[in-house]
Amino acid sequence: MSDRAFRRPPAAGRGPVGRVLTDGLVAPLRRFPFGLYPTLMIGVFFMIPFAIMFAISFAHRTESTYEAGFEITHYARFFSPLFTTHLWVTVQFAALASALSLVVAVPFTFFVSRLRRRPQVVALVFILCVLTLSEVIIAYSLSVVMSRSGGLPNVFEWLGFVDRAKSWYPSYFANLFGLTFFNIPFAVLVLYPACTRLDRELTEAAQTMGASPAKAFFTVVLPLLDRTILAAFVLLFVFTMGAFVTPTWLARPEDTMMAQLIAEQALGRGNIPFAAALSVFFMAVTLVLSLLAVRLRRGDRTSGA
Amino acid sequence: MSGLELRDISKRFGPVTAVADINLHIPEGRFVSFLGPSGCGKTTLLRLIAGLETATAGHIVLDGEDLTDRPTHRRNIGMVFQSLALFPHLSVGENITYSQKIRGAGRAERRKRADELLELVRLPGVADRNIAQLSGGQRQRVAIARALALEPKLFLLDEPLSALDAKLREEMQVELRMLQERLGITTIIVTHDQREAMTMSDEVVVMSTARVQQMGAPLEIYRNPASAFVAEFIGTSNLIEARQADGDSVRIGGQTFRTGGKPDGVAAGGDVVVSVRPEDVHVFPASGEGPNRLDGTVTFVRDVGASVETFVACGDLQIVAMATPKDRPDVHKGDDVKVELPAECCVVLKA
Amino acid sequence: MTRWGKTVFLTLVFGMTAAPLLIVAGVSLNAKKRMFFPPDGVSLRWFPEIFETAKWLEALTNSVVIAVSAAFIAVSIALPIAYFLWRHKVFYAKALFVAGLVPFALPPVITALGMLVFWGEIGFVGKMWNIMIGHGVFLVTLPLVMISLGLESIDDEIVEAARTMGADGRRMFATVIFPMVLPYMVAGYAFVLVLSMNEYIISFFLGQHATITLPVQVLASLRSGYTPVIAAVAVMFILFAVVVFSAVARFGDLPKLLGAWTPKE
Repeated sequence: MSDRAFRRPPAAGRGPVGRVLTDGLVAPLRRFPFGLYPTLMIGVFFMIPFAIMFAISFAHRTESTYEAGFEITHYARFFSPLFTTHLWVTVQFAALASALSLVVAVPFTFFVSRLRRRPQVVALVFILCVLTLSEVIIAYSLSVVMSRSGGLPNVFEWLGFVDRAKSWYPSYFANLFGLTFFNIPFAVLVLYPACTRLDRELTEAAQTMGASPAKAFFTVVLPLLDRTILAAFVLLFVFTMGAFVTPTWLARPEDTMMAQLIAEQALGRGNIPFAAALSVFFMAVTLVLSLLAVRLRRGDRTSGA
Repeated sequence: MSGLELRDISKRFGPVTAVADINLHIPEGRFVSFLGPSGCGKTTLLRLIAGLETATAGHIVLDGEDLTDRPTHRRNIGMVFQSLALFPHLSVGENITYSQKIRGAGRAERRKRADELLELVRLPGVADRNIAQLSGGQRQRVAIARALALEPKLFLLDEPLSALDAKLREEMQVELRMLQERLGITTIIVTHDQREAMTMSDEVVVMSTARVQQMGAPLEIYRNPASAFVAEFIGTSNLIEARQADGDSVRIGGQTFRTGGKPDGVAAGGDVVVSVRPEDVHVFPASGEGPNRLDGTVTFVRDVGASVETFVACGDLQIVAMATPKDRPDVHKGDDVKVELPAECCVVLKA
Repeated sequence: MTRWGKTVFLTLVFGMTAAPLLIVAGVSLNAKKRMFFPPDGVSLRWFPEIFETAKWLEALTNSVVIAVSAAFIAVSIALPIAYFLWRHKVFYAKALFVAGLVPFALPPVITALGMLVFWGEIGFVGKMWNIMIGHGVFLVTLPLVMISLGLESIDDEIVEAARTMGADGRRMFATVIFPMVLPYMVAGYAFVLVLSMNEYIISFFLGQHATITLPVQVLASLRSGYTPVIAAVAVMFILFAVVVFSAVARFGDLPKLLGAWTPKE
């Protein structure tokens, strides 16, 4: 209110950039000065690091570290097999693990959203516990399950399926299973809001018209959730592409994923500029896919009509 | 026995009893309303008939066949939901023929049926439209057409008109009733609107607190309510606490009033409630003497054009009288008046 | 998908998800220093060892201090942004809100690398507060979304009523808005607390072997050879999450916090 009371005359010679700055940035902050603190926090500790990283991705690598410069050699390495094979592996794992986790999560979330409140809350607490559990702990738990002494191989030997138990990890399937397992709770939480919005009467109506519950699920629930599921797939894909601990622990060396590659280049080999270039590429892909997911979710059929 | 029978139906949700020991017989082709305040169990009863809830006890029998354990999708019913529950991802025609598609009917057959049904609900030519493009009244008709697609044995409606505005609702009531008469399908509608129930039904089932309070033809229930609850819920009524006297008479305050009859099981001296409909009450200027009259003072006159209601304070009692403008009593606020409760209109109920 | 099939499916998924955790719990009870399941003899002796061994105790202390501070930082950033957007729907506030959503959408390894080079350029590497701020900014998305949900659930008429009764902006915030969003702030705090405790990669990058958190210590120990202490730590993590989220569910509306649709009255 006060800022409207004293309207200053436009400063002489203020260009379009100046106007954008004052109207877009200074004026809102005058109305709400507390906005300065989050601006600074996110600006200094999030935006600036990314700007620095972006700059470094063009820097010149020296023996032990890097020095200022402008070269695109690091980006050029994207065409080397080192990069392309790992990208292909990452994409494969991300796509498969996302799809598999959705196969479980879609009916599961739908059923949970149909539970009465109390069991529903219990289910949600459970899901949250599994979701927030450190990737380290989950990967470790799964490795216990797949280990020779502590888990299923042992059980199989005891049951007589195999003569001599051997560890199931590291392997392609161990990693895929780990990533899928890790994705399920995340998928549930992404699908949950849309599932709660699905009017119960829609499936009931399908049943009064002769559809069995399974038929109703496939002819009414799935078509109504199609965009939500697609959006969830994209989000999970992005999420899985960033996996680090699970593949470190469960995957074979030849199945190294992108995040591991970045960590290896940055910390193991001290090639920060290449790691930065990889990150910039990775970030661009992530942002494009995230925007796609937001688009898809906006078209969510459960919210309209 | 043909028609729908409910035998000792009960439904409990944990500690809450939603429906208790209901016994009903609805003959084939009848239009019946389940009427009651919210939470009385009427919707649960309808959902039990549809198979959307499982009864805790009792049996549901249709034309001699026990449906109790049969899942919804094999009961052959048509249902209109409160939210209408039209599928937003399907067109109008696809919505209407969903049940036929489930049963494997071919495209041409479905198309033909969709057109027929849309004709039936007087909404031709919209089969290819999107649900979102329809108005509220049109969606209503689509939901009705959809429920009738398989010529079901039972047509169930759960407060289907509640989303419509008052005028459209009244039109749809008449239309729905005429449609039902034409098709001769056994129909049950759940409503909390007594006017709606009386407009459409052959019989009204009045429910409260999980139980059936009274079942009968609309006018029968209106004229002879079985309890004070029914008298008050169906239309409005003046309920007057009284004491049963000898024969067909009661004592109100210090006066004796003749009544239309005596309830069973009430001895002289027992507490009763007298129900008199406002339109049966007459108001006279203070000089008018006669039997069955109370002294009172006019506290308020509501004149809404089509009818006039006179509020009269008779000691602790408030009596409301209603008249058409033609018969309106010549009284004003503050006037001392006499109120007549005609004997044949005094329905005596157990307290 | 009959009622029966549905129950079987739900049980199966719950069972499958819970099984590894139960097995780890079983392993943590081993009496001998071996990874057996079912456990070879039952003993709780690995639990006290977390508090008795210097490296585990240090990692635990670091993790707790970092999680508590990071959660505070995250909520302190999220509250002004959410309130700013809710009160003044200007472009700047929207941009700030989106900026708050980005960290969580990016793969954490990128954020970790960005922050590492940032602290490297400034000349502080491996400090504990690097991780505190790192987690605070990385996890700001959760309290931001939750507090916004809380603010959106405040009816405009409540604000108007407070104004007609004479509350100015500041007083209205203190007496009406803050109490109403407090449960959402607490929930946001709890989520960051748990996630920060469990976060690996940012802690690993920024800690640089100087500040070691519990997950980093777990993975390091795993690499150097197994000990049941690891399983005991894992069990502690699980219990911690169970306690925090049960508390959130007990005192707040968990389905609503997770975006469940609630019909408007």
